[in-house]
Formats: sequence, structure tokens, C-alpha cells
Amino acid sequence: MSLKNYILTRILLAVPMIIILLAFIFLILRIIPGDPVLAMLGGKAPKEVIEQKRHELGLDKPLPIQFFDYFFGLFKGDFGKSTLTGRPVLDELKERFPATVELTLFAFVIAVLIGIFGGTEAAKRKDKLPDVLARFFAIFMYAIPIFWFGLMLQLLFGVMLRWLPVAGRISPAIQFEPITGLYIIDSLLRGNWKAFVDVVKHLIMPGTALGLVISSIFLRMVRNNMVLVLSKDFVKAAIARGIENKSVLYRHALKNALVPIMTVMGMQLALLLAGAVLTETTFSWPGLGSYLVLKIRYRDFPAIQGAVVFFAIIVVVISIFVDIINAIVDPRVRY
Amino acid sequence: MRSEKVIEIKNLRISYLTRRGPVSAVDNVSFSIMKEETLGLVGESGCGKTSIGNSILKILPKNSSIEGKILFEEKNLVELGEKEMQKIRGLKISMIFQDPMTSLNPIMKLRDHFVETIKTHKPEISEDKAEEMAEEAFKAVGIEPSRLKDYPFQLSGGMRQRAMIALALVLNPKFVIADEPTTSLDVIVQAQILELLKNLKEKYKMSIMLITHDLGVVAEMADRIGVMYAGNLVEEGLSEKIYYEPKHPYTEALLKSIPNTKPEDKKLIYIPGNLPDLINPPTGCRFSPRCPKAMKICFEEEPPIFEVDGSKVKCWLYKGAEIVENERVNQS
Repeated sequence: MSLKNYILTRILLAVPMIIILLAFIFLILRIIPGDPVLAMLGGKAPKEVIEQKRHELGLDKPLPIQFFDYFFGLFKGDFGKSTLTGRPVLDELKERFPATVELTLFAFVIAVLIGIFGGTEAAKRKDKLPDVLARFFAIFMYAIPIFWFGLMLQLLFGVMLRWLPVAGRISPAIQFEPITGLYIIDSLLRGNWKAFVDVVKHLIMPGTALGLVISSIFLRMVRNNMVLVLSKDFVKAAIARGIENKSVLYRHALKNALVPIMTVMGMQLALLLAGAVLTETTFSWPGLGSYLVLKIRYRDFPAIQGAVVFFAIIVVVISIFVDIINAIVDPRVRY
Repeated sequence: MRSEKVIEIKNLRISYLTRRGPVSAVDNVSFSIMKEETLGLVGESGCGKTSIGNSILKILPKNSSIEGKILFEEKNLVELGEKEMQKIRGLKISMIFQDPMTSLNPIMKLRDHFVETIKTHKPEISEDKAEEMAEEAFKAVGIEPSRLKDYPFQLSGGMRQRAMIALALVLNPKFVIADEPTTSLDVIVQAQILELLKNLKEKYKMSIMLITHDLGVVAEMADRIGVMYAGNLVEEGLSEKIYYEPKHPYTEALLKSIPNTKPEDKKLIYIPGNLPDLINPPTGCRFSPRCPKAMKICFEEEPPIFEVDGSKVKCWLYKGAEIVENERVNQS
């Protein structure tokens, strides 16, 4: 199969996948105990009011009709209205998403760099001191709860050393008008240097904390896969052809070792884009993770449903990208 | 005549450090290979033949150590650094590996294997020229040059081994180590590959060291044969001599154990016993515990190498013949 056909098939297959996912989310939210109307109005509301609200929300219609209403609503961009704020859920998600994207990309780049280079160098020096240190680092970072790690960073760099702001995304004193919602890009586009420095300073601590924790997973995976690949015949054959060590390590071994890891990295990225709940809560980061926590606390069903649908779509889109990258790197996937 | 030595191995010792102690995989082996000659190195699994092949290119595992001399182009390869070895590997000495299914990078096009190898050794060659060289090499081994744009998994086993051979020979090395090149292939393909190797050897005027456990394969290819047992080279001589007049009891037993299809030979003949533990090799001759002709001295003293009828034999049976090399002297 050519690459073009593969990509096309993969995208077409995603359509039924999204429909099934939507049906699934719809059903689960109706099966789980708890009545959204009661949650909205409180248990002591008069019966007529409850019935009226139910009718207003379309919840008295048969289930299949409800599903189609909901389904076509989504297509028109109608994710429902938040019962907490009364605003369209999609608008709220759009506001929150850039913050999560910014945090995620910062953390992800750190994690991938540490994971790939740390893992490769550790595998090259298997059982030597750098490898032992790398493995210790990975276990340590993996075992540490991120909220505790975040708190310690806040205490050290925010409170004691006062190098970085403790929490939030931007200082309240900074005035500037966002364009894309990604503050780093916006501040540069506006040419607001002061805002840029402030935004970066806010991003460093949560981004690094999250990045370090995730790097531990990548580091271990890269290291173990590299050790495995380095013992393969084709690596020895490449050395026997006189290929330089660096090329053998990065061009031959690493590329092969990354094939299975890329899938994990992609899924991790999708999870992060759905909001790093603990990190965002610890650092009061106004992203999707803290949004979800807030909405769950107030039983805001339309918002929760909208957010879950949004996450599901992110996961599907990222997995398509991962599959395509996999097919480019490893041609065996296509056949 | 062929008198020029391409490679000379002197008193080679290879040992691996394991948790149980050092394993002496190759013990005091000396031989040389002449220009345009094929030397077959035979022996059962674990006798050290692959270790010798790998030691020449210095691609042994990290827990190994080499002693002795490997002389190639007036240099002792044992003493060369990694950078200098890289210039020899693939350019002057090439290796053909046992398993063509796993010896090519699965996610790299065949073409890129060639271009990478050529450009590593000869950066002045353009990519187009390198591709042309790859096409020539493919033609020489009988593969359609258009297959260069394929990935290894798109080729059959026999074709992959042809591709491996083409890759090993693309820079026209003067010495090729073929480590069990046909073991993982079926018999018909085996014969084709051997025929191909033979023709290419004539065409490119190279020397080959053929490592195998298959006596049929060496019979087909080798001018001279070295027989290895438990890290020792026990007999070395011209192929006809080894086949028709084996001197060492191990060679004799090995030849007898080749199965044949004669109806009267229903029973398989084998050599009783197992390979000795190379962490604590037996004193005296390493074959003595399994040798049908063992004498008292065989259990006590390691035999030197005797020259008998043009062959070199490491066996006390030929005590009195001229000693080529006395290891006890070398050891001290």
C-alpha cells in the first residue's frame, strides 16, 4: 500500500471510530447514577419545575432521538451550555485549551529530549555509572507524586529563592490582549517583551515539573529498547561495514528503537493535551485539567460531557498522526 | 604461485570474562591466508570459529580480550584503535553474516545501506555514483538493480543473502570473512550462494575465510581447511588431504559423522561426549576425554603442532614428527 493510500484509509477509519466513541460517551453518561436535572436544581425543587427543565433540555425525548440531537448538535459545534456559567461549553473549552497546549508542548519537549538522549547514552554505557544514574533518576521521577514535586519546586524557587512566580499563567499586573490564546506567541506578536518574559517565567516551573516526570517513562523505554536493538545483528553488521559509532547509534539503532516508543509518546501527548490535572491544579494553571476538576466539583454535566468528547477527539487525531509517522519511519506497518 | 599472505594470525587467544570466570574461547591459534585463497574454518558450535572471525574485525563483545597478533597490510590489528579499524572494516576486510534476515536494517532501504557504506569510506564519491556502484554490485550477484529501492523485508531469504554479499563486496575488499553464509538458507539456495561466492572470488581476486560447521560447504569452496576443536586449531591442510587422509582423530570422527544415504549405513555415527567446559579446559589435549585413540600423555601434556605430510596436526599420535610450533615455549 502506498503511503498516500495508507493515510487516506487511516483518516476514513477514524470517522466510524469517532462516532462509536460519541455513542459510548453518550450512553455512559446516561447509565451512570445521578440525574443531571436534580443536580442542577437541587433535590428539593418542585416536580413541575423539574419536568419543565427536563423538557427544556430535551431529556424527556426517547434515547435515540436524544442521541441524534446531541450528535448533530456536535457537528454544528454545539457542545451544550454549562449549567454553572450558562455559557456555551465549546467557548469555555476554547479559552482553556491554549493554556494546556502551551504547558503540554513545553513539558513534552523536555521529556522527549531527556528521554531520547538520556536513554540512548545510558544504553550505550549499559551497567556503567551513567546508566545506573539514569535508571535511578527514572525510577525516582516516576515514583515521585507530581503535586509533591510541584510543591517542593514552588517552595524552593518561588518562596525561598523568589526566582519564579509560584502559580498562575501571567501576572495580573501585565496588560495585554491575547490573539491565539498561546501567550508566548501572542506576547511576541504584540511585541510586548515584558509580557513575554513574564509568561515564560510562569511556564518554566510547571512545564519542567511535568516534563521531568514524563521524561522518566521515556528514558526507561528508550534505554531498554536501545539495549535490545544494540544487540541485534544489523547493528553488528553496520559496525562491520565501518560505519561510525555515532551513525550506528543514532541512524541505525535509535530509529529502530523509537518505532514502538513513538506510539507511547503519542498517547502520552494526547493524555497531556486532555489536561495534566494534578500539575494544573498544583500550579493553578488555567487549562483543561483544572477546568474538568472545577466542573466535576459542581456536577456540571454538559460541561463534563463536552470536555470528554473534546478529549476523545484529541486522542483520535493524535493517534492518526502517530500511525502516519510510524508508517513513514517503519514501512512494514503499511503492508 | 599464491605466496603472498593476505592475513596472518599468530598465537591468537580470545577469552570472555563471565560471572563464572574467564572462558578461553580461542587458545593459541595460528594460521595465515594467502592471496586469492579460500580457507575453510570448520568445527562444531562453540569451538571458537566465529570468535576468530569477529576478532579480525574487532567486533567482539565488550567482555572479551584478545592476545596475539593479527597481521594485515603490515599492521597488527590487535593493537589498532577503533578509528583505524573503522577505516578497514567494509573497505579492506568485509564480513558476510549468517542470518540475512536480521543483518540488514529493517527500516532502511537497500539503496541506503550501499550509499551509506560507500560514502563512509569514500566521501568524495557522489551519491549518484554510489548508487551506480550499488546497481553494479546487484547485477554481479544476480539481483535486478531496481530492487535497490526496496526494503529488506521485501526480499526473500536467498535474495537477502545475495544483497548482503553485494554489500560486502561493493568496495572490492581484498579479504572477506563469510561466517556461516548459507546456514539459514535451504539447500537449493545454499548451492546457488556458494556458486556465486566462488565466481565472485575469481572475478574480484579476493581471499575468503569461510566459517562453517558444514563439511559439505567447505568441500565445495575451500582450498585449505582448518579444523577447530574447543578453541584449538587441531588440524590444518589442503582440502583433499583433510578429506581423504585426515590425521587428527577429531577430524576423522567428524568426517565419519557426516550422514549419508547408503542403505547399509542406517545408524548415525556421532562423537560420544560433549565439548569440554572452556572455563576449566582439560589438561593435556582438549579432545582427550572424547578421543578413541587417547594415550597417557594426551591427558597430561598439551600436544604441540606437528607437521605431517604437508598438514599441521596438533596430536601426540605424531610424536617424533617435525614440530612446527611448541606452545609451551610460546606461553612462557
